[in-house]
Amino acid sequence: MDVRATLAVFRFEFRRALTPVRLAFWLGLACFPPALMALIQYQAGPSLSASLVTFILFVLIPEVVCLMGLLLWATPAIHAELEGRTWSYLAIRSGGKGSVLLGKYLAAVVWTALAAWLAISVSMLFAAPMGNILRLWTVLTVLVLFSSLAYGALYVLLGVVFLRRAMMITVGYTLIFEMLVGFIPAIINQFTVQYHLRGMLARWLPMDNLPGIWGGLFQRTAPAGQHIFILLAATVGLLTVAVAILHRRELVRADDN
Amino acid sequence: MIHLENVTKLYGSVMGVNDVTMSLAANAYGLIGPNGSGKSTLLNLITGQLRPTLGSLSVLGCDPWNNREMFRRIGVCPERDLLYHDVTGFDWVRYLLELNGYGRAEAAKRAGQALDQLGLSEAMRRRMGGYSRGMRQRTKLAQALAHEPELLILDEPFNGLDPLGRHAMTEVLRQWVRDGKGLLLASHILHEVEAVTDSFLMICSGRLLASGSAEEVHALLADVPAEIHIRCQGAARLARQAVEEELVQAVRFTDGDEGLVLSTRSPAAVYARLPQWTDDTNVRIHELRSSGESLETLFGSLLRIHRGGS
Repeated sequence: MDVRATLAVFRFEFRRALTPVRLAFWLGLACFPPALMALIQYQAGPSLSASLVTFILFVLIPEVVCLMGLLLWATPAIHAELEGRTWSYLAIRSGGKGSVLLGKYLAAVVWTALAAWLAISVSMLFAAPMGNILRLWTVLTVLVLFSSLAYGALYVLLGVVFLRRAMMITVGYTLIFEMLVGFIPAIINQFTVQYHLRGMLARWLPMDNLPGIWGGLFQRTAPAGQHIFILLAATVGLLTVAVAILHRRELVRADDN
Repeated sequence: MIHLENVTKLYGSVMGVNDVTMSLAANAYGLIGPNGSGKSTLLNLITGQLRPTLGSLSVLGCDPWNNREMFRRIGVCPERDLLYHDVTGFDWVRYLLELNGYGRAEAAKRAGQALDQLGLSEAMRRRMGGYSRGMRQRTKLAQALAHEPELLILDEPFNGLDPLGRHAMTEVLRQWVRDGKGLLLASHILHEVEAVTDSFLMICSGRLLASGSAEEVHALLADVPAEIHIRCQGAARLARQAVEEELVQAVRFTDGDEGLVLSTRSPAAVYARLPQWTDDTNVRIHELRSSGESLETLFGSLLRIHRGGS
């Protein structure tokens, strides 16, 4: 991997993200969890338990905000270049196709994580009555980091494998695996990112008073370090596979000309 | 500089390049062929963006596929237009130089120099979305030149340029050739290439049909029948006169008796005799049009010869 080239791609892509439209979307993404949290707080009043607030913020920020941000920026990383017909300018650079992919991945992760961290910080205003907000802020911030890294790698890989219908397949994957299978209390849910994020949350914050089946989902199944290791290993593995596929694929065809 | 041996590229069942063998020493070459002839596929093979289905190739002594070392030594200007509307020309060229391994400061210096060389000093800090087609073409050339490659590969670089732009582009390329650097210039317009180099490669339907100097190409063109399109009253009488004087190889009627196409190897003689023929046959010509030295016709003829026809 060419670190300098990767950073060049990251800088270039991040600057390109600073347009009014993209910034408006970023702000919208960052603002909707606190807005929703405020509404819930207003409706439920003091009856809201600390566990439930944590659960809601977990679902809204490391899950929904990160998934949406990465879906939009990580999944089409390569397809956007192909569609914009700019790929052939990048593919013939000595920095390599891998640097382009990794730089765009980094830009998507940072862009998403910044929105999520802003969302967490503003949401703390409405979580204040729940007690130790510094701990809650720290835990959610760490979860956002791992969520962005892992989901970003997963979406980048899906985007490289399924170039043409990447968005559709990624949305399908997210709904079926992360949202459905991830909640099934069976071994298969251990293959989802969400399982490990939940495991870390359960280790770091008490999730005792959740109603119904939700309580069963936040079990202290393994040490937090194990979840972190699995997510980091998955991130590295997914990115390695994505770069390898990108290197082997011929992305320029006669009909592109 | 470039060596291809029996290179074939298939896209599924579609033939992109068909059994091309050629060996090019370091020099400037024009790759001529009609649209869809396989020029871009051949260039994509040479620039390492495609792998041959059959055969082998080497560029600057190495296999080009995913070859990062070779990418430093070549400059490529693809045919495709630029679509980073929100980025300045300077930022884009600097970015591509950084991807080629240059540090930020060195990349900025080289980007500025290359854009300046192509007359974009004032426009380089503006977003490319506001560029004219000609400015975008020059920016594309700047990114190909900026890292001072040994071999420059250009795909239809004159597309969209106005006469002044064409002249400026031609001058830059001529200087490049004078400096003794390698150039492969693909175009479907002969005279554009002729202004830069006198070595040609002719490609059609994915096959390399001929190669040689400008004189050799013109000699080939001289043997290809030129077509003269005539719209007149009494085309049959005029055709009979032309055939009797044995100046045409074929006649074809179009639009009933009002359209005539004369196929001849001596167009000058036909034009010289035409006034006399119209007097003799009492034919009134409404329109006279020549397809001239049609490359399409030449390619058609060469392709027939290549396939074993006559």
